[in-house]
Parts: sequence; C-alpha cells; structure tokens
Amino acid sequence: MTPAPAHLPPRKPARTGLGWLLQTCTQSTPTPPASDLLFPATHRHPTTETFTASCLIAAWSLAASLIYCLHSETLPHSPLLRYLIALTAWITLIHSAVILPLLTYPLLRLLRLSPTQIATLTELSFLSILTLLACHLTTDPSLIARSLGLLWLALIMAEIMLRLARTGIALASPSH
Amino acid sequence: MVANPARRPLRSPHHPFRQLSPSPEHRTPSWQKRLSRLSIYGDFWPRLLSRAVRLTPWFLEPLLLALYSVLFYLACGPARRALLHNLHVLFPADSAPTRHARAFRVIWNFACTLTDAAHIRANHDIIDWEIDGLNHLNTLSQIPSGAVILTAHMGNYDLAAPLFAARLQRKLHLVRAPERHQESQAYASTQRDHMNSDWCVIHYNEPGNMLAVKLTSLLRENQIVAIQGDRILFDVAATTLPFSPQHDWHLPSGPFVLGLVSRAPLVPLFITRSGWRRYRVTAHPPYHWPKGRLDKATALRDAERWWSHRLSQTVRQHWHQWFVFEPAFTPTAAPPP
Repeated sequence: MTPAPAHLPPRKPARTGLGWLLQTCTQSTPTPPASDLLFPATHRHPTTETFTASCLIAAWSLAASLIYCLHSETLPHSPLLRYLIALTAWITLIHSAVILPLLTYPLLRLLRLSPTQIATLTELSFLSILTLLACHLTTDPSLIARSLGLLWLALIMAEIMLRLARTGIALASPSH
Repeated sequence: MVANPARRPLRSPHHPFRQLSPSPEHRTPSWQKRLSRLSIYGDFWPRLLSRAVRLTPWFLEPLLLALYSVLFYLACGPARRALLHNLHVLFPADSAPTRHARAFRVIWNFACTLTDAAHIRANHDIIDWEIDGLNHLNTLSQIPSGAVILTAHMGNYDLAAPLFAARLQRKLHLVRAPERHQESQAYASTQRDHMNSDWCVIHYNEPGNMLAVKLTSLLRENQIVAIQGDRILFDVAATTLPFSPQHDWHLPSGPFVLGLVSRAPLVPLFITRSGWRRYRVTAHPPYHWPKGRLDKATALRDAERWWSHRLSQTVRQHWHQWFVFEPAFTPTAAPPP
C-alpha cells in the first residue's frame, strides 16, 4: 500500500437546486481529511443537504398531517385520538414511498425500469403528492394551513428554477 | 473466536444451528417458524433493508433510519437492557436519561452501518474510507509471516475487509459468527458470497467445522486472519480480564491461542463510522510474541492483557459504536479472605 499525497478530496456535488445555490453562495470547500489516506466514493453528496432535506420534508409532512387531522370534520372529537391518527397518517405517508415501490417492483421491472429509475420515479411521485397536499392546504381558511401550503409551493418553485439554472449553466460551460 | 466443541454438545438447545437439524420432539411448528422470521434475528428485516435501499428516496433515508431506530430501541428489550448495563459500567456517573440517550445513539449508529452495508451490497459506491495509522498497515503488508488482525464489533468491518485485502495484496480470511436464525444465516451467507474475492474469504465459526485447525494452517501458509476479539457468542472459549477496578469483562481466548500456536503477530485494527457514509480504519502497532521458548500460559496472559488494554481504550473512545448487545461486564470477584 503506497501512501497517497495529502490533498483535498473533490467537493461533493449537491443533489438539489437549493443545495447547489447554497454551495455556490458559500463557496464551501471540503474539509481536509484528518487521516493519512482517503478513498473517496464515486457517488457522494453533501451530508448537510441530505439531513436538511430530510428534516424539512419530515417537519412539513408532519405539520400537514396534524393540520388535516385537527381540522377534519369527519374524525372523532377527542384531540388525543386526532393526534394519534395524524401521527399514524404521517408514518403511513412516509412508508408509502418505500412500500408501494416494493410492492409494484415486479410490475415496474416489466416496464424495463432499473432500480435507479424506479427510485427517481418514487422520489418525483412523493414530491408530487406533497405538492398536491400543499395546493390543497392553500385553499384552507386557516392562516397556518395556508402559510404551510405556500411555504412548500415557494420551495418547490425555487427548486425547479434553480435546477433549470444549474442545467443551463452546465450546458453553457466550455467544458460541456 | 474459535469454537470450543468440548464446552457444549453440538445438539445444545442454545446452539445457533439447532433449527437445522431439530430432533423430532423439538420440531417447531411451521407457523411458529414462519413467525420467527419476523423476529429481531429473523431474515425479514435484512431482506426488507436490502430491497428498500435500492428504492427509497434519498431524502427519506435519515428519517426512516431515525424512525426504525426508535422502534427497535423500544422493541428490543434484552438488547436495550444489555446496552444500558454496559454503558453503566463505562459511564457510572450518568443519569438514567443520559444513559438512555447514549444507548439510543448506539442503536442509531448500528442502523446506519447496516444500511451502509446494504448499499455496498447493492453496488452503490457511496462510502468514503479513511485510514489512520497507515505506517502500521504498511507494516502489516510487509510482515512475511501470517498475521492475526484483531478487531471489534464496530463499523462495517466485514465490508472494509475486501477493500483493504486488495490494497494490501495479501489474502485475508475473515472469521464471522453465524447469524442466530437459520434463514438469516442462509440469507447473510448468500449476500456475503458476493463479497468473497481472490483476496478475501469469509469463514463462519460453525460448530464441527474444525475452524481452529483450518485457521492455524492458513496462518502457517503466511496468510492473514481477521477475527473479532470482543464478543462471546455461542460456543466461543472465553477468558476473564479486568476492565476496571470494579468490573471484569469476558473476551474470546481463541485468537490468542491461534497467534501463539502460529507465532503470528496480532494486529489491532478498528473500523469506526466517522460521519454520514464515512468510515475510518484505524491500525495500531502489532503485538509480537517474545522470541525463543515461551511459558505458554504467561505468554497467553500477556497477549490477552495487551489486547484488553487496547480494546478498552477504543471502547471508551468509541462507545457509541460498540455494537455489543449482550452484557459484557461482570462485577470483579472479591478476593478470598
């Protein structure tokens, strides 16, 4: 095993448009490894982006579930029961992004979709469902519900715009 | 971690492969057997994980990991109690909530390492590996004789092995304890068969397979054997060593017997999770057996004490990644009056 020269690992490319914007604005540089040798992975993405996206989606979907269940006229009146139903609905929603592709996997394979394509499809479907929920929330009379819906729509719009901008810049770059 | 067949008969009720050949009076009903696949040691969870990592959206992974860590923390009573007991020995001054928080952190880290392992088996190149103690690892590649790599149940040691065996250009034999459940073992060995390469071979410490003899001969052929030196599972011969003035711990004695018989140096090597999708391999200086004629009992005791000291340092530093879900410590026996 020959020691590799000490060098900074290449910057991890962001997955999202918002993550890319943050990276560009902050000009973040990768931290030098605190060890003698590093074998970087080929497909790596920023940890902060992963956890921020996860926390954002978890918090938003939980808040949306709570608002739906607390404002629903068909559910029982007991607040405790409503909170329990909201929590169950939220867990079901999160799991639907795993269980449904697993159940439909044989069918999707018949359509000659690779696991990576299925994962992308799942990702897009899940985000579409959340966006539909957000659209529905914007029609709610409650100010909190409307704000929550608008917040999601603003984030999604920004994400779409930034992805387009990123692709445009990449296509326009001389290295392309 | 070498089996000691003399300690327990092969048909022992505690044996991990008891279900492979059950006696007619102990035959498990089929519904019970099917249900057992959903148990914590069953093959349902690893199968689900290996499929889910291929399809789960990346932004849901940390969230699902957190949810399942909570679920397993609440559901696995014996493992949780054992963790709390071990943490109480490591941090006696901790309050109960702090100890629970620490135990949950261990479960979270374990969930992350299992998920990363499933990603690697799905051929996702997403893990960054770092090496600390490169000079010691270089020494290992230059040792002309065989060597025993001593490791602990931390990080993804079984996934790091093939990578570093190829780097070392030395054949590595990794010894693993079998899974506790028959179907889980069958599934795990199928999965790990993909990891076997020209440089790395996985051996299971199953009863009756004369692994000790096989490993001794491999060491004499100047090959490298990697063994976990921190867990007593199933029929493993154990030695009791002091951990602190109040507590002893039980460590497997097999690796030291192997090293002594073959006079192969013992190389401590730990794999720890240093961040999200990032692992660090830390190599320490090897232990060389004294030259010339040896008093075997003294030499064995010295090597065991050396390892106990090295392991206790690592465990105290990386307690949140020490995946030992059995009580590891016992109170020190009072000296006879």
